[in-house]
Amino acid sequence: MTASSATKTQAARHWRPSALGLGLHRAALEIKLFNRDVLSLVLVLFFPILMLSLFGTVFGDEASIGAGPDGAGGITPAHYYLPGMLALSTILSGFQNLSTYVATERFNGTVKRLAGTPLPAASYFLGKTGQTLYLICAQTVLLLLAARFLFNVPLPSDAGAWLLVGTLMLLSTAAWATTAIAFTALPKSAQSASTLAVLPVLLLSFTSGVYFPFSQLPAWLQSITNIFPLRWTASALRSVFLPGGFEAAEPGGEYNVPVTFLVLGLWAVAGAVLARLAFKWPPQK
Amino acid sequence: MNLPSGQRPGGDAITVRNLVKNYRQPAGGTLAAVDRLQLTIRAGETYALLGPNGAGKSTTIEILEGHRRPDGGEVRVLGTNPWKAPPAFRARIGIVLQEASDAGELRVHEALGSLARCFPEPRPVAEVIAAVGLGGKEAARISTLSGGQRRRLDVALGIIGRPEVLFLDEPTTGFDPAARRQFWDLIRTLGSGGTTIVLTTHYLDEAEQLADRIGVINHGRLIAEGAPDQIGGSALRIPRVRWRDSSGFHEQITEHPAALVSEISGGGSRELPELSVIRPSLEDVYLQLIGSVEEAGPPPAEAAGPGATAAEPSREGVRS
Repeated sequence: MTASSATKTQAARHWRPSALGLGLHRAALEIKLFNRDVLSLVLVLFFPILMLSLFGTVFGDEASIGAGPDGAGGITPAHYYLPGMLALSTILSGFQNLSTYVATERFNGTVKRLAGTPLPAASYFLGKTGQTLYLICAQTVLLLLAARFLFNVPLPSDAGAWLLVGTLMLLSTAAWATTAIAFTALPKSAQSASTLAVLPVLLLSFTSGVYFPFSQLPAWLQSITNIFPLRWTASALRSVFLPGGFEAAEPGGEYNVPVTFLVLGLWAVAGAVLARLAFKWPPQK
Repeated sequence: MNLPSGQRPGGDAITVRNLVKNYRQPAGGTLAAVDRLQLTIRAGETYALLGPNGAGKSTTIEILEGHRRPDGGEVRVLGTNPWKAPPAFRARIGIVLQEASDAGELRVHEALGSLARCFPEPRPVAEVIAAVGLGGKEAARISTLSGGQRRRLDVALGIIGRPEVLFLDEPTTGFDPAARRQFWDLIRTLGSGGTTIVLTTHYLDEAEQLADRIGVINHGRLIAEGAPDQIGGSALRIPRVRWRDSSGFHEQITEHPAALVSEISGGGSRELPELSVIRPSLEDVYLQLIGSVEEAGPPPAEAAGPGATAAEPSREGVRS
């Protein structure tokens, strides 16, 4: 063996792929793939807009929802439902879409194929993070544009409010995303994965103040829903988008944004720990 | 069993010593899917693993790929323990999955280009597409490929990283005869280029065509090994002479078929209906090997759990 080939062998033995570079490449690829999946694109990206349009159409564009019992200080249904639909976006992008994708890839050979190459698991998840970020950003922007220009919903004008919205959307999506990865260890087939992934979204969206005011729920149901992030995200977003006086409809008569951050942070961390334990790379059947 | 011995160091791509893998069974107890398996595959060799469904072929190959954790024994692939091996090891092996339906929305060249980025010295995408006969399909969505084209893409994805060892798990299942022959040519080309190839198959003709050596696995153990024309030993390859005469049909196993034919035909002066001299095919030998194990009964009791040898594990049932 010559000196140069010895050096080459030595270099090959210590070769490492770039987790970041490959992660960014995976993200671009995942986004491209997602855009080709028209059904998912419409379901996930436009679902909150569809729901907002539905509420705006069914309940009309009168300022019919008021903070007080007499309906004083009323806002339009589209205005009232905007924070709820934004909160819904976080569970759709972070949980339903991501868990369905990852579970499908566990069963159709994607994860097995990639785990058989030098691709680091971190790059795979960077790719998923990129796709989820793309989704939640697109969803948020589209929803806000629709609210502003289709339904004339007044939006906040100060930077602090938007910083809070951005942080809430990202942290909520992150909390759901780590939970989603852990969740993908549960289903035993791709079909059961997509069915199972819809369940939490369906149950929580009806019990977290997204479709109905949270305070109208019975106390026992409130205390269950209080464990999950969605109710807190919706509440904190209402604190930004709804005019003063609406906090009276919240439990305890206030929005409690610090508790929201605490709950979201706990879910993100617990989800990450569970995901680390539950997700197998390479997958073992 | 004739395991090769005295291999010079560096001459072996894969060595397996006393490999054990147990599966828990739904009914309780464990099944030894791989039971103290010994295996040596030389660098540059094309090696075919044969065996009935549930014999442990796929489990063994998945352990070699690093996709399964062995329960015991020693496994070295290119000098490395494949379980949780570093990326530098994965860069030197290629895996062709048994069944995959991933990346349907990607185009052929996108899937290959994307995977190529994971490797330090990938083959050029265009070269690999041409090699597997997918020329003209570069821009096709993978979901639109036919079954045979999809499998060729799987091979392309397996060799894009310029692997030193290529694993193929039942690569030609579902191929039509023409596609199978084209696929064989591709594997021969790779083999002659120095790639070590490990394949599992249920097709005896495939093993005969491609393999330098064949190993037969049953109940998680290697029960025979050798070149396609030698495996099983001469005892299983004694020719048979068949003929019919006035007293009926005859079959005789003999080491001297020419002498027998001469004798029964009166030195060639009498034609016999249905006269044939049959040399056992690889399939005949294989079936005798598998059958002889079944007749000999289960392997030693301490190796397997209660009832383990009678029933195959359900999750391995269709995979081998």
